[in-house]
Amino acid sequence: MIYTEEKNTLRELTKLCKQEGILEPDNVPGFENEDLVDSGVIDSMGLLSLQSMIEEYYDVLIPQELFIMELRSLTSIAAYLDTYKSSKNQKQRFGIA
Amino acid sequence: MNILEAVAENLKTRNPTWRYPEESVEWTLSEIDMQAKAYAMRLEALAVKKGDRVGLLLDNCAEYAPLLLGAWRLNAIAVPLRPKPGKYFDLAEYLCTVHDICKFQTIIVAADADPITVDRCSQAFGISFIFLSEIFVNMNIPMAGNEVTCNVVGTSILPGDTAIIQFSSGTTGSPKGAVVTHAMMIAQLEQINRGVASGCNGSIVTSSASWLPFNHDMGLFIGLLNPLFAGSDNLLASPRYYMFKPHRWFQMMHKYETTLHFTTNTALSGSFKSLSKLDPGSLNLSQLYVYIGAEKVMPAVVRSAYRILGAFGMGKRNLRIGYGMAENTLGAASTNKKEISIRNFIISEDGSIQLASTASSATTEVVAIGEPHTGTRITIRDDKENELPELRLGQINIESPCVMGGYYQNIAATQNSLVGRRLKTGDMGFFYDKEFYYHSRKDDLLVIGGKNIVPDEIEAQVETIPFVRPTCAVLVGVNEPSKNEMQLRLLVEVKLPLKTMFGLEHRKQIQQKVFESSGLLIQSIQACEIGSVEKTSSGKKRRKIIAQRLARDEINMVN
Repeated sequence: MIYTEEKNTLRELTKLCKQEGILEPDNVPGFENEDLVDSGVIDSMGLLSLQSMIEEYYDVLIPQELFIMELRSLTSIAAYLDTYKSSKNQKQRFGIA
Repeated sequence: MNILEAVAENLKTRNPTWRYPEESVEWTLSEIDMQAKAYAMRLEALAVKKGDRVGLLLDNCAEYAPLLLGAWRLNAIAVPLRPKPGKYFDLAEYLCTVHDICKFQTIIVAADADPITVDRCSQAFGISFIFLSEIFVNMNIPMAGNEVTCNVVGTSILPGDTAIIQFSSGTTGSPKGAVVTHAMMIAQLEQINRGVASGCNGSIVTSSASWLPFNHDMGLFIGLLNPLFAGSDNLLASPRYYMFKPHRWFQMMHKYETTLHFTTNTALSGSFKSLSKLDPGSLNLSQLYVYIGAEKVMPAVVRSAYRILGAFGMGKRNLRIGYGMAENTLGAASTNKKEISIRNFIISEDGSIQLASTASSATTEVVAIGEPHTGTRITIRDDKENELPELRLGQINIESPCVMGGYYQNIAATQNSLVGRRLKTGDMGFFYDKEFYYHSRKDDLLVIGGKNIVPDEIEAQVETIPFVRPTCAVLVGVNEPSKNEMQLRLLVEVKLPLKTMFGLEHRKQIQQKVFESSGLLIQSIQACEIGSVEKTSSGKKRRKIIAQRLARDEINMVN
């Protein structure tokens, strides 16, 4: 279940990044696990774009520092978003704001 | 007046002591003067005459001052040279280039000079290299009692005669020799002493100390020429002796009651750890004035110096900033206020600047380089040579009696740097509240995505990370032909054990640190072998050369 959800988020995230011009449309399969900083995909401006895009589509503001220290691949960002969504759902279920 | 006359004048009233603890040598000024006469006779025997270029391929050593004075007694031109090769510094190639420019009559080398380099150059130049250890072999120096009886009393020196050619190793890689006349030398020495008197509460230089290399303008003037001119006691050593135990140097300055010392941002920053080991009660540095020059001065270094040197009684008033370059003989400006000004500015992309009341992510903290010396005019100009008002970023220009007439035998470089007698320094800066602020080297400033990036500031942040050693990080821009844009690349010199471990976690820490301080994400961070962050003799990073080597894939990376 989680596996599928992660896959879906990852697929969606990849698509959004291509749509927003953060990723090249022809990025090869397997790219999802690449380090976005080391591979030169994300620079200072790219970081800002990625943060804004995620805030807009997922309604979550990820501190830019987190992209540098932890969320350096699309896979790790997708996993973070899934964890965030699941924790948000649980909070809603138990009536926690 | 010339420097020989200044020495003669000083000898009438005092006989200061020069100390070289590294060589266990102590000489009085009269002993130095006597040796200068002996060197003059030796050089004359080698057929050195007025206007001949005498190369000094020597580390800092006790014989340097008498050799200079000896050469000037013949009205020859002294050419201090960088004496040692480096990982990327081919000494023989450098010497060949310099010889092509100024055609040495003779070159004096240290006994431990690399014999291959000496042989290669000696054959190529068709001149003899004279080993310092053999300079007096087979020569009778006429003595009367303990005095050298010297018949070389000095070809009369005219103010416009060339005294020194100050060669920079050059950030572009091609050495250029700034011509310094005797008049410029004296004008500079008078400025230094007036600047010290004005900036240091009326203080006069009674005891000086320097370890800076004599082949660098600041080392030559502060280490040798100013003590000769001011008639002060002097404490001298090599950079290696200083850097091995910086606290030992400060202990010596305490012991010999040094009043004037010049250092660099990097050297001072690298000395704090060693100084912190000392018991605050063990040193009294209350008489000492320390000038920081030759590099961009970082606010954090000034604050640490206040704290660490303050513990030894050195007041804030005793820390000063100096600004200058070989093309202006040496200094052009220095701190004249009670305290060094450190302010926050918002520096816009269009070059306009606003003073900010508090620090924020949009501000840059800059240290003032002080006020122009008496007789010096500094202006900030745009690319069309128009003078800019206060709080506008532009190129620092200098007009003073110390500005060179040109580079030796290099018309093109002279034309690029001089407009009449106005020197275009190649440094970017601005003016505020009677003081000047240095921003960056024009050549070093990186513009990425419309944002101005000052490498010194980024590197200073990186070098605060515990696993990065001081002076071992360099940020350069390398053109990426495939992307048609410039890419920022940060190199960090590493040694064992980090050499085998440097990886993602280290890169992340650096990226985080730079991002926090500047909002900049540096993608390319690589560890490289020791010696890759090449520096000039004064310790400035040779960014242009490093960038060229990077582009040519000539830097040895680790991991």
